[in-house]
Order: sequence, then C-alpha cells, then structure tokens
Amino acid sequence: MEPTAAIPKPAPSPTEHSQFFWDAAREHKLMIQRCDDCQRYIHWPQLLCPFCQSERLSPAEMSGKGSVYSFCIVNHVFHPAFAVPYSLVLVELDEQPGLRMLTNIVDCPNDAIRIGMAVEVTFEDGDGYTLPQFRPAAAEVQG
Amino acid sequence: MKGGGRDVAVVGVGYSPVSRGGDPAVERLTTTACRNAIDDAGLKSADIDGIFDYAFGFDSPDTHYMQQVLGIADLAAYADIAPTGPSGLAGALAGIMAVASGACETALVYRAITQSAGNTGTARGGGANLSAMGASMQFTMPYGHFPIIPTIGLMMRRRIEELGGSIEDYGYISLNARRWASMNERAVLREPIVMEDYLNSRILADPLRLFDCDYPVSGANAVIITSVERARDLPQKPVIVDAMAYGTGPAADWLQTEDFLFGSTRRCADRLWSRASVTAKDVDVVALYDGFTHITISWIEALGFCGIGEAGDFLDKGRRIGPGGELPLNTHGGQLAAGRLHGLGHLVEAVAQLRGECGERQVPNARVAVVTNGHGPQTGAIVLRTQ
Repeated sequence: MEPTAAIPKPAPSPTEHSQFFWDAAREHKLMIQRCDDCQRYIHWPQLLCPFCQSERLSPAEMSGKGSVYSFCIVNHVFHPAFAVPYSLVLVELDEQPGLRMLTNIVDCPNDAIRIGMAVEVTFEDGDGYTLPQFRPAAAEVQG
Repeated sequence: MKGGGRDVAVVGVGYSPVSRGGDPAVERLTTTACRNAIDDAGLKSADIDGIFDYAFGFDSPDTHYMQQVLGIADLAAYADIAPTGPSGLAGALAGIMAVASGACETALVYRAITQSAGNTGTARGGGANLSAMGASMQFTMPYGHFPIIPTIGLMMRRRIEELGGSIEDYGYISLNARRWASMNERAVLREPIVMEDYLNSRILADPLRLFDCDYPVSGANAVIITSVERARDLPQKPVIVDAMAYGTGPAADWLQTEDFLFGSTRRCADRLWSRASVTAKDVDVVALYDGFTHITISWIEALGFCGIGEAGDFLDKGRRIGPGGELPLNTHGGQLAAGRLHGLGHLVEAVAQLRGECGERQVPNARVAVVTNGHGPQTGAIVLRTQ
C-alpha cells in the first residue's frame, strides 16, 4: 500500500527535557542524555538520573554505532502515512548495554535485517524535523 | 491474607452479553455485569460500600456513574484506576486491598470495554506527555510504532533468538484457547483451529500474527469482594484470596525495561509466591493473561511452571494446558477466544472453576488457581483457593 500523501507521519512532540535530542538531530548529531555524576546514559530522557537520582544531566554526543537487538516487519496499516511493509527495530547503542532506541532500518532490504547486525546512525530530514535512523554499518555492507 | 490485613474472598461474579459489531451502550453492559455480580453474591446494591474500576479513561462509565445507577447512598472507598495498572485485574487488586484494610466492607469491581477501545490495530495518540507512555511516543510514533502490537512482535523475535523455541510455541497457546472456548457458550470464537490456521493467519508485525492477538469485543465483567468473615453468611462457596502482587520493574516502560522479554512478570510472580501459602506445584487451574500469546508464555515461565525458555517443551504440543492436562490454561477460552474483556474475565473464570460451576470444561477438584494480568511494566497476579 502506498502512503497517503495528504496525511503526514506523526511528528515528534518534544518536552522541555527532550528538546535537545531533536535539536541535535536537526544538526545530524545523535545526542543522548547522560548523568554527569554516575556517567550513565539515559533514554528516554528523564528529569532525574534513574540510576543515582542526580539532577545533573547533560546531552552527550554518541558514536552512532550500535547493533540490532530485535526487529519486526510491520505488514499491518496502523496509520495511512506509513507504507507497508516497514521495519521497526530496537537498536542497542554501543556505549552502554541495555541502552536501546527504536528506529527503522534504512538502506537495507527488510529480509536482510538480523539480530546482532552492526548498524550506524543516519539522518532523515523531514518536514520541520529530522529523524535519526539506522542503516547497516559501513563494515557490514562491505563484509 | 499474609501481610495484607483481613482475609478476603471473592463472593460474586457477573457477566454481560459479549458482542462483535454494532454499538452497544457500554453503560448498559456495565450495569448488567454489576447487577449480575451483586445478585450472584446474594447481596443488594445497598450492601456495596466500595467501587473500583479500571479504564483507559474513555471507554467505560466511572465509579460515580455506577454509584448513581445502583443508588448507593455513600461509598467508603472508591477509585477509577487509570491505564498504568495491570488491566482489569487492577480494580480487583484495589478492591482486595480496600476490604483487607477495612477501608470498606464489600467492594464492587468492574471492567467494561468496547470493541473499538480494545482494538490496538489502529493508530491513536499516546495521551499527554505527563503519562510515561505519552512522553515516550515522540521517540516511537514518528517511526510508525503504535502500541502495542509491534512491541510484542519485537519481544517474540528476540525470544526465539535468545531463548530458542519456535513460532509454533505461540501457536499452541492460540490453539488451546479455541479448544477450551468450544466448551464455553459465552466465548465468541468457538471453532477449533489447527497449527496451519495459526501459521497462515495474517502477519501483522512479523513474526506476530493475527492469531497471536486477542479478539476485541464489547462486554463487561464484575466481581464482588468482601471479608471472609462476611462471606460465611453469603450463599456462594467463598473463593479465598491467598495472595496478591503487583509488578512494574525498573524504567516502567514496555520498550526500555531491563527485562525486555518478560517485562515485570518475573518480579510480580516472585512477589506473589513469596506471599502465598501454596506453591506452583499446588496449582490446579490457571488464568494467565493472553492479550497476546507471548504474554501467556511469559507468565507460564515467570510463575515457575517450567524453567525460563522451556515453555515450548513444557506445552507438549498443547496437551499440558488443554482439557485433562496438568495445567489447564484459560479454560474459558481466554481473550483469544472468549473476547478481549481485558483481564477481569480471567478472574471471573478462575472463581467459577473453584466454585465448580464450569460444566463441560470444569477442572475436577480445582482448589487452587492463579490469575495474572498484564506484561511490560503493568503486571498483577492473584492466588485463589477454596476454603
């Protein structure tokens, strides 16, 4: 099914403490909240560090490298702006075990996606916002 | 109830008609289920001094609405529980605590839901940014993730990769539901299916299929909870609440929780058994949430009926959980086949089993039951027993 052009994809609705993520994406940077005290990364962004309750939280620029933790291929039309089939993927970022982001995998056929596959961030400039996306890591493509 | 104040019993259950299609008035379904539960308990509405319900917030009448309908002069305890709870069991857990603490004497609990409210196959907004799920949706919806079907698809894929087993393990949960439902005249999908039907059902979020999902309906269930002392004077065989527990796990989020495959089911199950007077070996019948087949498999393992990752072998092609099996599972057909009554239907069936009222599908000499609801950061569980 082709997407219906008249209906846009749902845009992110940032909160006061998640605005940095979307501002960074617009500059094609992947920034994740990090605790200045215990140094752990936090996603989704929070008001206090869930690990040590510190108030000192700052955006940190990430390598953008990760691996596929799990994925599914959506065949059901939940929303007319999304052409099926499309991938929904949980990527675990290299910086911290259990630090996961939801994404689509781009530049890769759906049937080539595998758990454990190395991926890297890329950016999709949309209408008024930029979405971090992931694609097979350069080494993965060559290998 | 260990650590929980007064001993508490479930003394009445109520059903409404359950339907697909059309647009039944949910307030009428709720009223029918509540009146039936009050009648079943041998009580009058004036005996009710507590009301608890669980709702998404737009799909069911609230406690004040039902208080007016039932003409109750005053409520000693009440709450409309918002969507973070463990589905319909949330109301029952609140009712149990209210009676156990003495905040009220006799609580009415209901969960009413409509087919459209129960249908997760259509995108809808995630609510305000002040709900945990709403706040996280900025990171999920722009990618085409709409709760909760893709989340479960992600869990299923990861489970098969990490713990082994196969897609057919899920299929046996789906087949089991229809098998039991064929013996329940209240169920809505009563035709048995075979594995091929399961595997050929429409793929929604590969590997998740249509027959992994419960079946949205319009309907309501209600239960009456009171003290064991009061229950002695009532007509029904009392069903005792042996233990109850909630769980959330850290992060309290479906995608970001530490235990992606099990959500908080293992924490909730451990808490439950730490309070119960019985063990998993004593259980005669189980009503384990089946909004999705993955949820049921999680609970089977979390509760210790088999080891983690062993459900596939344990199910024994469905024999172990079917009629005559050692762990009869969802004997009403569950939400997969009796309809998405959102958790309270599981409690109602377990009570009916322990009262010995299930006719053709009755588990012989059922004395101990476990009821669970939810997954992810929203879990709840109850051990029930006869006196």
